[in-house]
Amino acid sequence: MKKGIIVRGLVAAVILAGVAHIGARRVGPIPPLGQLLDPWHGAWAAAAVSELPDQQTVAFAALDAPVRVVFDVRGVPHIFAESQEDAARALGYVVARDRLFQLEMRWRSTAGRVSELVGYVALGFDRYIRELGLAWSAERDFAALDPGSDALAMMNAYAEGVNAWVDGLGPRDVPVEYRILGATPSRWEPVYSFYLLKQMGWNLSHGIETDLLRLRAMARVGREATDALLPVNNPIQQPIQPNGQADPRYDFAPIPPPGAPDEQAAALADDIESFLGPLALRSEADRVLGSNNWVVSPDRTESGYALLSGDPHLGLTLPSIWYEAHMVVPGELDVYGVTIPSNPVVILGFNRDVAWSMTNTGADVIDYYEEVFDDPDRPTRYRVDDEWRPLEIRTEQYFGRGGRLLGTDTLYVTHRGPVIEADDRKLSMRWTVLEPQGVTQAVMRVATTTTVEEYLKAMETFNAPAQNMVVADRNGTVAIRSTGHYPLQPDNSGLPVRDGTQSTSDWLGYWPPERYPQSVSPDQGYLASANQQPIDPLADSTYMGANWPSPWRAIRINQLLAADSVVTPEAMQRYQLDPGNARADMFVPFLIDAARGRAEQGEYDDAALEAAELLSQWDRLYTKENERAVLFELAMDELYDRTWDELLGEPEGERRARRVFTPASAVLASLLHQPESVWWDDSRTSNTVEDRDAILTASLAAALETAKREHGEPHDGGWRWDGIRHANIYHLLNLGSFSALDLPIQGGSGTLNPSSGGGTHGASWRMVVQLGPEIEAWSIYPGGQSGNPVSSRYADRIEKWVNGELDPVVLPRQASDIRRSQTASVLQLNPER
Amino acid sequence: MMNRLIPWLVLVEVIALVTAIVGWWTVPILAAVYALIYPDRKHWLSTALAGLCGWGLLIDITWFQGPVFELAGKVGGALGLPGAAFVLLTLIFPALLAGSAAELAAAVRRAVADMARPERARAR
Repeated sequence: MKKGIIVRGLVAAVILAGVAHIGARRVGPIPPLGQLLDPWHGAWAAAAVSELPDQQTVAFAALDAPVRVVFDVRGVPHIFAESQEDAARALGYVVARDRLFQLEMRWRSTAGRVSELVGYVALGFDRYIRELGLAWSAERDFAALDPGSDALAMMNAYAEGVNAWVDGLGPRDVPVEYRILGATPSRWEPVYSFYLLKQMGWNLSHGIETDLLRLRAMARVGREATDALLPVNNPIQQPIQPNGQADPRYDFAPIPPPGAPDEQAAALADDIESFLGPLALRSEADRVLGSNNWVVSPDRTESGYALLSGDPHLGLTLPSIWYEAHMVVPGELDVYGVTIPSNPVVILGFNRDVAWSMTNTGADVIDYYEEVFDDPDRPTRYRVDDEWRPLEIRTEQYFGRGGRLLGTDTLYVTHRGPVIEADDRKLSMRWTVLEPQGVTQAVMRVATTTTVEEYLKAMETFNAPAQNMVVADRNGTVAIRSTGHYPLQPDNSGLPVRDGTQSTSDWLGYWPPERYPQSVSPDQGYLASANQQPIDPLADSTYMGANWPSPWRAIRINQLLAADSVVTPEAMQRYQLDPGNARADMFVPFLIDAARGRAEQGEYDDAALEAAELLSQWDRLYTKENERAVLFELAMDELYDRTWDELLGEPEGERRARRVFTPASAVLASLLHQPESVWWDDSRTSNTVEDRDAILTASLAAALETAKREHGEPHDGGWRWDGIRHANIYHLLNLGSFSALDLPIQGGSGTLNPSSGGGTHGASWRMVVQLGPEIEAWSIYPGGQSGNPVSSRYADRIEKWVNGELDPVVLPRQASDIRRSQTASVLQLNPER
Repeated sequence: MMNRLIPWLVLVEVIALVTAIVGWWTVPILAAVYALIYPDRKHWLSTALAGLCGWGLLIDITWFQGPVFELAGKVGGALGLPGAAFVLLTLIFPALLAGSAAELAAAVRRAVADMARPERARAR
């Protein structure tokens, strides 16, 4: 035998084995290439299934009767069914068809089972999530549902719909993300619909951060100063429940000087942070972003009909958190709005009589209790009132790709909730999000309400995350209510950590609904919320939370609505992107006056004077073409740095010291009225004691220098706001090529369309509804209905969203009402067996 | 020329068809069978080209159904590759499978033939 043949054969065998191996098996981060590259079944197939078929008929055995789904040209499914269960089945089916990978990520990220999809890299996240007990509490709530309840029937029906799609999935229908990960879709369990509510609670329920921030601040400047920097009552009052004052009230009080560091608080903060790592790193900018909603009474609208605006702001992702849908069951249900993939209800939207929207309340709904266990290593009991109570013990196992066991944890639960292990402390956590919930039931009920009164009644079981709900009906009634469970604290305060050995530390109950901050059709003719403190402490001083977001957006929307007695739907849409800024209105005059005032006293600073001149030319608007907003924002950054130097932590190695906590800008506004406060002195400058105007002037000068260095001369075009502030909408897996990045937007910190440097938060859904004899509505969200990155429906709404345009909503009463020109696709689901 | 071209074209189409019906892993099997049926000194090259063209044909068909270039750009980007590189990778992968499998099959066939030849000579 020739030697050459052997060599060629061996080389060929090695190449074949190698290529076949990388085709069939994952190699490091590279997925199995055969599945990925296969042009028929692999990633390429996503191109072939990117658009909806014109007509499609599908056999769906679980249905009781045929369901017709008409997709309009915006990709919105209008579901016409003969029962609410069938409508939920159809919704599950079309959501799975459009958003299957999002469904997968959603349940896994709440269950702490992301490692099974992406491997060891997610193990830390999974452990953290399971320790929080989100899925554990969802499963407990689900098990407690009445077997005959509508909520259970709807969740079961929704699961049947999702699974009908999953079970019939052809290789070409598998979303491209699964190909990239080398994974396969899993089936849907009804309990996953409850997971969503827990996850939303986790995203929106504040309290964890406030407690940690309080400890961090105490560790630097002591208790008394901390209480002023993290006030229970915002120094600027423009509450959600109108207080009878048209203008905001300024409750500016002296801020006590920094006190001695509290070492006990420092130790506790370190311990909690060892557990709360991911939350502790959440940036200040993320916290100040927020949602808006408002309603206008018929006597202040041009048409004489009530108007409602919904503008919830959340983390932006592709695909969007929302999925727009319309469900019609003749005589029973006709509801339109946005659902969150994984739940069978319209969360924000309207029916033929009532429209509603929500913003986050942000009340303090979490408390920690330091527990004493009978055995630090293998505990079985914890101590309360000199008695031992049994711990609930559960074992959690974590698996990676291919079912490999990555780790096992033993977790403990007291009567208050899950125990987190913060270094050597055992802290149990009571959190309204983990309490038995009635959110799904409430949101299901509101879909069929016909008046504001019915809506408010139906929402009484909505417990977490607490929401500021605006609602309007066709009778012209408008209302607002901050709805949710607010704990009644035994000491009417928000202590960071309580004594777990005493039952007297426990919550006394919840606020009754009649005490919730609320208002129905007030004389002023409008109501608005923007995450501000819900109720004026002069009206009710019961502890509800602390460190409320500064009410700049609330002030602005109240200004706009008070000034407009003939509001139109177009004005409502325009207000959602209003570029005005009450924060700038507050700070700019102080900055300008400080620089000029010091110059008059002989303290010339040419850069500060130039900056003051530039700021005086500013209209204080955050439009895309504006060339002065950047200077103000840089000046504010400098101002924070120079004023709150007392809150700097210890330097970390080579890195500069980080501020442990930044007080709200309303607190800084309060300090502006105390020009000689010791807080103005920058402790990093020796031999000089600065006052307010010195710091303001120095901030201006430094801001101008930074602006010129980073963006060029003021008149050269580099200062345009749209060249600086962008929205960045990342794909769920953070894949840059599947994301929409560097989108120029109108708005900045404190405007109604707030934005931060990262640009990853923003208006997740914009809706305007006019409640006339026939409902008219307009809507948009940043993204598209499809989760397929190459579908024309993946990001088709982003351009309009960026420009602040809303689409008119198609609202047929029956399938035949939709004109052919408005129809993109028809899906007929038949209960064939 | 035509004697070789027609079977090769058939191979291209069979690779496309069987990949679409069964899966990617059939490519080396088909190439090996082809190499055994049609002995050729350059079978590695012809079968590699057949694998490349077979999958290219499937991408062409998909192109009629949806935005394949946009997809190449996005999925390539997700893997840190330009879109063109993702297309190239997709074409090289079956080429390597087919070429190496055909070469291995041919080597085995020749080895068997070489082992059989002395036996036959002795028998004569």
